[in-house]
Amino acid sequence: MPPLQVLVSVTFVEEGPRPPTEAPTAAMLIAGRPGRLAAALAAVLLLAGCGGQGMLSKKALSQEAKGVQSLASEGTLLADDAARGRSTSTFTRIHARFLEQAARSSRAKLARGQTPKGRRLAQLAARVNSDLERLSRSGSDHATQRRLQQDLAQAADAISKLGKSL
Amino acid sequence: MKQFLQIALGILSAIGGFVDIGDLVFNTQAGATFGFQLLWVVVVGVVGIIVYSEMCGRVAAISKRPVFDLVRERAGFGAGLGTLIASEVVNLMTCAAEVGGVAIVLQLLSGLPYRFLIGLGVVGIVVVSWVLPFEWLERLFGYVGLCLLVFAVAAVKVGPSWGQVAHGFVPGMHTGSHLVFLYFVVGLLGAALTPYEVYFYSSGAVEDAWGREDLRINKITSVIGYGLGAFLSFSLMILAAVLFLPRGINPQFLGTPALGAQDALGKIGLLLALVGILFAVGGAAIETSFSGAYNLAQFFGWQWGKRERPGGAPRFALTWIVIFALALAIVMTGYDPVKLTEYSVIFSVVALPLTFLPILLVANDPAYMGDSRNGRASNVLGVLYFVLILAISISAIPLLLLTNGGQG
Repeated sequence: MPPLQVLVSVTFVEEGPRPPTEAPTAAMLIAGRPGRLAAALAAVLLLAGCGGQGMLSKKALSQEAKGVQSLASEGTLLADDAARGRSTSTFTRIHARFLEQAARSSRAKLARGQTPKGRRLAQLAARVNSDLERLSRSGSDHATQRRLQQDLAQAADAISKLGKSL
Repeated sequence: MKQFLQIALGILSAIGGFVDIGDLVFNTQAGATFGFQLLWVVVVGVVGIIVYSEMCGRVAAISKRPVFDLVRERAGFGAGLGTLIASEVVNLMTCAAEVGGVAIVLQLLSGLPYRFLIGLGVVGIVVVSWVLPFEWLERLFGYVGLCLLVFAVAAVKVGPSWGQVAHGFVPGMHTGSHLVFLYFVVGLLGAALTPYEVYFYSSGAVEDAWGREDLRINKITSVIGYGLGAFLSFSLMILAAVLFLPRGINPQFLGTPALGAQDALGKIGLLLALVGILFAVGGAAIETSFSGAYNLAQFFGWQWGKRERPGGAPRFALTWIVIFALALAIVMTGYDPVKLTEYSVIFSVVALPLTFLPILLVANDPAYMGDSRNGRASNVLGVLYFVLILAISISAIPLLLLTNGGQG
């Protein structure tokens, strides 16, 4: 988890635990709160020095692409089961919401992307985010779930191709 | 039938160790990342925990002394206190993660608000732990947790290539990043050899009043109980390798393994998976809170045990209730329970060697064990696994950091 997120992560999520993010850094694991603050300040200075260009490194962008593709694929599987009547509406609603929260977090990170591919990835993340949100509200509407399954599958495919080209 | 009921201690200990909230996700991630390539690691891990659990069950049966009693005696007060602190932090963080897991599963079943379910889950577990005798806690959570066997059925249903599965039991690495692979190897071994499993198992053996006549049941319990835990790990990995790996899914949620069971078996698969996870995670919460209370009581020489009425062992009873209260406070912050278990790795590093070394020493000491001390095979395996435990302790944190928690 990047140090800045350590500060952000004290916010609460009402409907469930916060979505998983990247793994903790050494500073976060080893240090206590003062250490975290120092690490966060260092990160702010470092980011300020970058002048906003390339806020997400190529590696970070690639990892985000993998993450969003994973969420889209998992959403595809969930929507497919829901459309075939093989899931409960409660499980579909709650699990889709967990996926949607994680997609929203990725979308926010990708919004910092400066390159055309980064912007394209951000658009796809927004689409996945929106589809998952609709899936969580789809109840027992199998037709909508089938459409969302197809849309999420297309998005996962597009993200996978984009991720490979990064 | 009697023997079937007696092995509940092993089943509950193993379910808490092999398929608690962190392991459910971690095993699924291992399969989704490396397919069948890590199956052999589970075999290595389960042999290690069987060797050490059999030893500490034998020590408890013969000397009537549980593990933490021995830790203080053999490691001395200072090192013992260090082990106590580290293990208490591991127990608390793991207990908090399990309580969060209980709330997540209840939410996936009921759709009610998460925070309400955290409170409800904790109250439910505390009441059940208070009311039920120890052997019924073992049986309830151990046997209902066996609903997790639905993952084995699902793993067969999705039709893996059994040749490739068999190949996964041969040590080696064929694809992917070496460091990430090593991270998963260490993680799976660490998950199999968690300290609270042996604290709970040995204290449970004393609670169950094992004696010399129970040495056979000790062997059966450790082999069948932990064998079942390993079997569930295999099932989760195989299911993930078939369903998630080809789709590029990196499981991060407690609901993802249940999604696998659902995809293979429909609603019944989903419900059995969720009930199994609920009882496994609930059982692990009890296991960790009791382990915390056992350790503290045994270290300071208090009266302890679930067999005692709370009035007979008030500090023991108060300790496990306080652990639940602290776990409730931690998980109420909204922090992801799955991530919480990753942090406990750091404290396990301290607790691991100082937990397992005293078991090995005492199990080999004729003054304590008489003619029931370790044989040659137990000693060879014990020493080999102790070296492995040291290696895990040294490499766990660097690998966690170098691989970005397995993300590469």
